[in-house]
Amino acid sequence: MKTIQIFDKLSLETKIIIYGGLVSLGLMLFSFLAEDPLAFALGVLFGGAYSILNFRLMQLTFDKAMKMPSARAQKYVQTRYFLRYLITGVVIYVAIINPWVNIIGVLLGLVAVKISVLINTTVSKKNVLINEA
Amino acid sequence: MIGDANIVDFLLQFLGQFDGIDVIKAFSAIGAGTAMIAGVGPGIGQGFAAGKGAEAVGIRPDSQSDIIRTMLLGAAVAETTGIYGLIVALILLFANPFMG
Repeated sequence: MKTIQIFDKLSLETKIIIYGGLVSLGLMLFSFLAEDPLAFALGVLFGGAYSILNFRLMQLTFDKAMKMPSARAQKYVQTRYFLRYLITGVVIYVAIINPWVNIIGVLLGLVAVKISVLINTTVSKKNVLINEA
Repeated sequence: MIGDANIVDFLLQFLGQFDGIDVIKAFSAIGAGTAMIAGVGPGIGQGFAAGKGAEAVGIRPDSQSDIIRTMLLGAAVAETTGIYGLIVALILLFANPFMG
């Protein structure tokens, strides 16, 4: 109960990161469907860890951009987006090249934070209370 | 001159001169390049949203955290489409399913 109270006090960004980790762990449970379960689990872990880092980078970018004038913020965010895109490309390239990481697992891991965002924004507080009751 | 044959026949005849694998590689490269166009859209969109967000923060500095939060969530979801394009491009280049 105390843990739930502490969790409720956290900011939305932190909640999304925690949920992202939990979604990644949940997706790892589907490794039994893959030919090589270990490679799939590693892939999900790799993709999930990167997607959380990506979200954190995005948060830092927006925090900094909001202190800038409009036109400069636009350019700054666009530049940072392409840098993040480049890193994502490297991550996917590494996942394709390495035989011990399943690419499907990495792709699922990469969308973990997006699933987490959708969970946090669509499942309202009211629905959670109804489900608990 | 193409003559009586239509453009499709001409194209097939032209491609028939080359090895099949080379044709697949060439079209995969074109496909990868086309797929990468998908990566530009989210960048422009995020930049535009950030510009408007910075304007909004300037008008109402007290709701800065709300503006950043909403923008962050939107940007995180919008980025997915760019990643899909990147995945398609990289798979076509480095793990082409058409070449076995």
